Amino acid sequence: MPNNIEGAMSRRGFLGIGGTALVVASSGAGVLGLAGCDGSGSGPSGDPGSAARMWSMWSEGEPNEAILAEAVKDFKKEVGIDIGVDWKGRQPVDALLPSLNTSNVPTDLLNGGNTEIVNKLAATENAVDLSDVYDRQVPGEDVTVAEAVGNGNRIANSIGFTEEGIPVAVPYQLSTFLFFYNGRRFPDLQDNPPRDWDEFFMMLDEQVAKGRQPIALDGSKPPYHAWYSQHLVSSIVGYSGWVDAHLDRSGQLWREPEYVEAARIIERLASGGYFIDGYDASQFPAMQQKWSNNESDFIFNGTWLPKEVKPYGDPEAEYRSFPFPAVPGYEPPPVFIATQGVSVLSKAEDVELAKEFVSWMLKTKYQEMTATEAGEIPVRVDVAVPPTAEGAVEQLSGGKLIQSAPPNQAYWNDVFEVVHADLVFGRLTAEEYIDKLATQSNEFWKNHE
Amino acid sequence: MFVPFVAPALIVFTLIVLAPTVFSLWVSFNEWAGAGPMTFAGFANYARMASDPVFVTSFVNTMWTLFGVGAAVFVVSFALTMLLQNMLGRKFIRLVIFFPSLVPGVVVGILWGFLFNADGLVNTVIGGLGVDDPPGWLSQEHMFKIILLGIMWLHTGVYTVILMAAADRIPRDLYEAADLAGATPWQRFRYVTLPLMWDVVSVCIVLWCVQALKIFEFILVFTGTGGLPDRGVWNLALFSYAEAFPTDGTPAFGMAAATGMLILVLAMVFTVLARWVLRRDDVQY
Amino acid sequence: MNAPADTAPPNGAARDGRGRRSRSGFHYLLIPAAWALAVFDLFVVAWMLISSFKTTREVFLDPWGLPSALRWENYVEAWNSANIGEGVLNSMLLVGVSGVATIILAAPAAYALSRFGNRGSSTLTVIFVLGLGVPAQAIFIPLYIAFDRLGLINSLTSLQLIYTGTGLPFAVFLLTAFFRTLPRDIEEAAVIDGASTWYTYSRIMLPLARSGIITVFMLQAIGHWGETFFALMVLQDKHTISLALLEFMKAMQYTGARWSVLFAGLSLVVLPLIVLYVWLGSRIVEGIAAGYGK
Repeated sequence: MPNNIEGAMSRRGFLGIGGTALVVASSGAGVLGLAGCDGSGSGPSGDPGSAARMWSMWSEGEPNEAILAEAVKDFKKEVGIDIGVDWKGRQPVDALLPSLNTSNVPTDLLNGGNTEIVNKLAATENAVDLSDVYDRQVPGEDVTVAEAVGNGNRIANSIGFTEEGIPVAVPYQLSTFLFFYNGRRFPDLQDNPPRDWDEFFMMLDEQVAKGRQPIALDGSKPPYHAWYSQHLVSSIVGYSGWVDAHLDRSGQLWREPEYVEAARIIERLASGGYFIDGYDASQFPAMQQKWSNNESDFIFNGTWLPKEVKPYGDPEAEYRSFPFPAVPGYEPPPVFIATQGVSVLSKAEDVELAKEFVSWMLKTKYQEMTATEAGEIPVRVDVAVPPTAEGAVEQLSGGKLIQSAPPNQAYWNDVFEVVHADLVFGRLTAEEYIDKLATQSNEFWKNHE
Repeated sequence: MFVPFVAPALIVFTLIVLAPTVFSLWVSFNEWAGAGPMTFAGFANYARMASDPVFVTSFVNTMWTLFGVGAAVFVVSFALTMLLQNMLGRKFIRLVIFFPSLVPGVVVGILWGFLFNADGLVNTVIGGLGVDDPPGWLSQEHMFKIILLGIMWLHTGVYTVILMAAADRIPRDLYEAADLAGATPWQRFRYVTLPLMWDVVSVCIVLWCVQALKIFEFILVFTGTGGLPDRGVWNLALFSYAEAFPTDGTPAFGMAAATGMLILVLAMVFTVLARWVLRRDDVQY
Repeated sequence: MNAPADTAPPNGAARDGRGRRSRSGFHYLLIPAAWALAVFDLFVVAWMLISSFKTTREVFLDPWGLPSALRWENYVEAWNSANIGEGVLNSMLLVGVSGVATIILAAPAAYALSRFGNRGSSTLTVIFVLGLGVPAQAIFIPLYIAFDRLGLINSLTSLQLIYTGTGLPFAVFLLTAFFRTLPRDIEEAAVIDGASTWYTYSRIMLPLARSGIITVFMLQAIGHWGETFFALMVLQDKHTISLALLEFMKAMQYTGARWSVLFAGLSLVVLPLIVLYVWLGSRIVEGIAAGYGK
């Protein structure tokens, strides 16, 4: 699941080439509007006798796939409905879009990111209203879907809902961003995480004094360094301030002192020797590999990180986490999340039948597996989060949750990521960075009206 | 008899290469998002090229590859050819230097990472030689140079093999005559080897022009994890690909096709130019 | 003009003629450089092989060391996961069929272009050769549309067609040059004996062009073995070796890094080519020498 959040932040950062294949296929098919015709080749590979079909965002071999597969198996045994699953990999909606105009839609259910379900499927009226499912009980358990998903506070009730407030997906897990560290090396941190950057800088300075370079960062992945500004700016001016600056056609909003203040923190990190050597000149995953072997202390990344570094990291490590600290004097940043869930297509062969499965993933068994086997955060609040993500619990219950995505993808790729790298890599001071960003934003919007 | 021999090849070639090229030429004069109608745009796509900084970078990088790497590849290939003419182990070396052509770009991309990372093998070695502050090879300002080095390494072997094969065909007595006349190694190269290899060299240069403009996979996989690499290292082929399959989901097929056409025109121009500059009277031997 | 198969005499004769010439210091500097390059090339292949037997942790912590044990299970895993096995088989099929098809189409055309002094022949040769300059970026959009209309998306057939068609310029170019190097007297004798053009071509000239044909086949095979661009465009749930590897690299980000398995997969891709090259290498060099020579 890793990379949902990041995928939303920048597909180019994470989208594997296999993912590009899907884009190629789907864009190309869009050209013709007759992609439905290739059903022979790419049709569901599930059992031909399946009662319903599902496209899933997971790839074969990853823990999330195993969990969903197990759920589908149990569903057949206990409910008697056989669902054939195609493991499509990330961005299954993109792969599905071209065929939606045809009469030959190759799936009934879709398991994917809730953002893409809402923005792409529901926006084109291809997703079914699931209000009645929200009123039903989670199969075999004494709790309604609405309660399991929303009231428990772990995620806001609005996730999986369209702007009109219609639920089109039932989310079952989420990921978020945290600072990770090895709990064996910092046993006290779990109870006393740094609340703001003053406290955090004190911790970092202690490490620097010991000759350490306390923060690891794979600068070769633009979203990885852009997350810093996303959180810092949102701490000061709120998420809306972050979005506004991105969409300001004059580019001049960036010059406001609040944005300069956020940039100064990054300038301080870059010039103060806090980042690990080579963060600006290495290939992913070189830096997180070093971090996982205790050559650095902290790394800001998604909840998928512990799973990702397991094959090469210190086998003794116990990864723990704390949320991104607030800028001193301001609120903590909002919690950026990505959620994954299940939706039903309007053109499903049997909508009622398909709806039966939508809430199945909310059963306690799969919620627990999500935490224990995939290391991700289950949406149900009565199920424990994995220890690696415990740092997120307090924030998730109290903070403001935002589905993470760049406000404008082209601007993000062409301007923001590029200029931001200059700041993070210490080539520009905060003032120079702001100046360059404002100027280039202005240029960009002139060319993109 | 001419027609039945040539027709099948010509038909397939026309269907797969020529006709699509012509259609792309038409697309390049349009705005087209892939779905929906095309809008005729005249030369707008071509006009936009000059004002798009990413395009300009891509163009400059392509030229660096074409001329910079090209010069290096040919100098090294010639040096190796001359050297290996009379060297122990020539067959072995000739066999081995072809290997890079057989290794997928992915391997080279990952290996380059291990070699050039901040504490990679290269910096460990030059650190051992007393360089205190070795450069960050994979930083944005150096990365393209490292990619050029990779491209050069990938291609040198093939051209060396070709040039060696050509050099082997030069009759030995010409060298003996040159030796009797007291020629230096440079003079032997200049007055015997080079003229007699000239047509092979010119074919190679034409092939390089074509090949250099098409380089795509190596840069694409260089980041090692898929996805498009940093814009500072794009070339025209990558630019075209990114226009057709952009991250924000609105394909610009017109611009992609226009870039494809530009690559095609560059290939033609450089091919003709190279042929013209390199034209010599055939040397008979 | 030398016959194509008549390449250089090996070292012996050459060195007798030139070996004792005085050598410059430059020369002594270059020889180690040449060896260094060869050693580096071997090192890359060896590094890939050695890494394929390690654990992923060993790959990262000790990238230049030897594995603690030979982990053949990496190969089993590579073959079984991420469709690498399917990819290898599909790529072999693709390379084999498109290579043969290219030669079946290109050889007679090249023969005719090199021999029949027809007015159109030089124009046609130029057209074919210009095809060398057509990049994939200039043709993929129309090709995708056409294959989609024909229902050939996600089929190996369309990739076969693309590889065959885009391989033709180079094949015609090299084989035309190659046929030109073959002496005309044999054909003239055959014509006098009353042999048909087709007979002369298929029974006499084609066998003579064998090293040229092997060269074309090999160079095409090398080029198409790892081809990515068109494969990405055409295939959806089928895999070639390059797609399987790319997908595997992508999946590693979700399923945890398995670099050692990736190296095993890469070795599965590279080793067959190296074996083929070592086996046929000298023929390829002959073919190149003759094909490029004139």
